[in-house]
Amino acid sequence: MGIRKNARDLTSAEKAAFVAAVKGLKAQTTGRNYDWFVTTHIQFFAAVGGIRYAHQSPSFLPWHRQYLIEFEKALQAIDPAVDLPYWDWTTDRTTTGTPFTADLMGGNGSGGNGPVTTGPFAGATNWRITVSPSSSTSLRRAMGNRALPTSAQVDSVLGVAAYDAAPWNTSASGGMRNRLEGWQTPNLHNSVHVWVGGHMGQQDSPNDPVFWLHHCNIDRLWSRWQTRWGFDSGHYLPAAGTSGVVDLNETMQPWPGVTPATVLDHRATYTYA
Amino acid sequence: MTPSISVNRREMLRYGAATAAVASGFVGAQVMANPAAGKDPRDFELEYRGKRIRGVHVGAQDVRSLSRNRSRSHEVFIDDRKLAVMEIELPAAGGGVTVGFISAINHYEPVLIDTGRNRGGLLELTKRAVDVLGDAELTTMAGAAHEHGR
Repeated sequence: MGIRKNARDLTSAEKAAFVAAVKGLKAQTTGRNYDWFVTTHIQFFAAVGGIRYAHQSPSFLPWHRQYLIEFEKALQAIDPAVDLPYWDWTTDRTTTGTPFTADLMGGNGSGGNGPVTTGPFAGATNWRITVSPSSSTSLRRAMGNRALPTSAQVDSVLGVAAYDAAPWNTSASGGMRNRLEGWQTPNLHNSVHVWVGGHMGQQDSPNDPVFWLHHCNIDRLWSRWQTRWGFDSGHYLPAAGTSGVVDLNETMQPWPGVTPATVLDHRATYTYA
Repeated sequence: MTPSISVNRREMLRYGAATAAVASGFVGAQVMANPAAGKDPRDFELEYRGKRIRGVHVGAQDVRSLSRNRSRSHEVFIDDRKLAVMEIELPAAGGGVTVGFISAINHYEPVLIDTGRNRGGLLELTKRAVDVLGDAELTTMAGAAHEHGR
């Protein structure tokens, strides 16, 4: 079982191992390499076959939980000692601190919207972007144009007892999920994508490796919500019979046999430190 | 799932369009007549930060049809490259539902577009995309419409 740590608590060796595994996956030319993960995110951001799997729907959280598990497994095939770290943006809130240091994610883009100039992912030679709606082959960031969510806002979202509510989309206002995803205030997940800017604000956001640290934190927040309210299947909605979205026991493409119910209790696979 | 869609009255009104048929605040299967051709006063074509940007609005009835295998949405071009604009529903301030728009470049921050308070929404969305692009250009991926459904 893996233990996912706060990025600020990683040792230098753990940071180096994580970066090396990510770059190893990027260099892989066949199979489910890094760009496969980018392409899959783009594909499933939209509705596939009339069903919203990954975003703007109840399965936002379980789909990304499985997505992170698959990515972590791909990293562990390169280095079995690697676990995903998380970025707690309620405590690390600057453009130069964790995780935006030269030994982990690197820093801001140059000139407000330009390429990242520091760290292991700076420049197209170190980290070449090939799948994107933008022609930039270098990773870009434009950090700090919006505010990061606060811990008080996180607490308010985790205090919402209902997992999600009809109509189960971006306009749902009666549950935790849309507040956490961010189409409803206080907007946790979306606003962090926008705060980082550059590729993180785009459809191809996994091109920025900080995507994984952000989503690991989103998954951790869901786990905190589950710790408070329950890991059981009664704490996922909708249960059944809802078209256009993934019910509790319906398959989450592109993973055969994986449903919201199968990923609700993650504690046998990984835990958060 | 076939939710009723409540919308803000102003979102249903289009410049030059007949203003009938909107009173209840519920759209349902209601369809407004397509107005005669003519430029929407919200349309724009100008240079912004060294890029040529162009925006064409479609009427509310076309936007509303997106959820029903629509063929059109608002259109944006940056240096003659298409940026597909996608519709999503959002909780409205004070209850109900409003419509926001995102693109492949502005994927996590919807803008509101209507004929009243948010009449500059499409221009704002386009400028933000140019701000992100900097000296880069759109690729064909940016022009691919993708249905977010509901």
